Amino acid sequence: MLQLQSAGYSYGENTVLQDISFTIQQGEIVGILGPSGSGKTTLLKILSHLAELETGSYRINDTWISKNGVLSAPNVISQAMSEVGVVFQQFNLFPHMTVLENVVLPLKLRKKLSKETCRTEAIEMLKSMDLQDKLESYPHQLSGGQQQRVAIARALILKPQILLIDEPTSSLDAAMTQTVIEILRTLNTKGLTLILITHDLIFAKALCQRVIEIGNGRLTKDCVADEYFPTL
Amino acid sequence: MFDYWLKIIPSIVAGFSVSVSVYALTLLFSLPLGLALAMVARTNNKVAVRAVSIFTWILRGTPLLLQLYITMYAVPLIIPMRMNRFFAGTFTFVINYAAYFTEIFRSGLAIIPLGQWQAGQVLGLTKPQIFFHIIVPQMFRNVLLPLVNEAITLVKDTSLLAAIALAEMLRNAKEIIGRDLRMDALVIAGLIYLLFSYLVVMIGKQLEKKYLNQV
Repeated sequence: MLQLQSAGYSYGENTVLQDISFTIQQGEIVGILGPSGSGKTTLLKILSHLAELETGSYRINDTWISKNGVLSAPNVISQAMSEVGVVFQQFNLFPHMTVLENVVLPLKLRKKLSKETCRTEAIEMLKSMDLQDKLESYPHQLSGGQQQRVAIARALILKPQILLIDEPTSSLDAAMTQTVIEILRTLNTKGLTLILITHDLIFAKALCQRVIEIGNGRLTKDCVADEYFPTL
Repeated sequence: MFDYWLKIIPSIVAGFSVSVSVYALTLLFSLPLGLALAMVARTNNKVAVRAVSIFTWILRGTPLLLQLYITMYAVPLIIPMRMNRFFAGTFTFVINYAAYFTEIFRSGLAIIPLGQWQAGQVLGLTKPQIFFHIIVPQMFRNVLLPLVNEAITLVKDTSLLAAIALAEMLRNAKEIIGRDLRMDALVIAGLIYLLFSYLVVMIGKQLEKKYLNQV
């Protein structure tokens, strides 16, 4: 479960997010929609703890990341944030590492597993993303869709409960978008909570069960997808 | 001529071993020092950033020969001590090259996208883990070519050690010329410099081949 209460954030004098509250339950697929500049990216940064809330509270399961603007201890945050995986719009793969090394790295450094176990688990994860023949490729040798699947594999290798994805379709063609929809649906059926930050309404309609709309830094709508997309 | 060369080569090679020692020690200490200073230069501590900036400005803005003279002859005037020539030469080379490496590393760090740090952060890696596993390897790839250039320049710069009468290769060659009034020693020294820099170029090419085709 992920919960924001009266969350606020500003860059200097410019208020970017104001009084945002919502709760996302385990297993939901939620689209966070809104036009460019509405505050979606800042919200992603807060949910992934790349930015810290200035006001309000943020909770993952029973752990407060920030309560009434006061941060919890770093080890508490680190433990709670291990339940959240993030896939960036630009994927941010490590260009000096192969596909396999990209996925092995978090396992090796976070879980301190043996080299062989890390390798086996990473290969399994990459196989599930249909990337078994790209293990030794470097990110620049992959298509946009393949890079995204590596990024998803890397985010999932630590077995988070929640996956945040920023603009999942921005570098995909129609066929690849369909593949990603299928991959994400399969992950969701296994219990993974998906939070998709997007402005692609067709993609959101195809996948999301619920929509949270942000406009001018405020929550303007929070409803089930069928109610949000009646005419699409 | 062959007999004469056999006679003078041991002295030139002895000088070459001094040059190689200074060369290796300079790289050994100036690379980590340059990396540390480049990291300081990217912090928010204005005093430290300014101090690094002044350090690199002075060291890169004055001749290496002048810096050697200052360490060897001016420092003992201020701090009464007997300056060891090898130490003076190596110390000066280390801080001079550290200044250049600082700027090279700084530029290499500056072009790594913020997203690389963020990717490490969301994977729950610590700052040192992100720095040493994600940032530093990419930075080295970014700066490999200028680093190899500096390593080649350093081969030739070691000849400046002759100016503080350190018995390196060029100084020994010069002594042989003064004694025998023949220029063979200079030819041999020139050939050794060429071979040494060729070796550095080859190592650089191997590193390029290994690392620069990955990104």
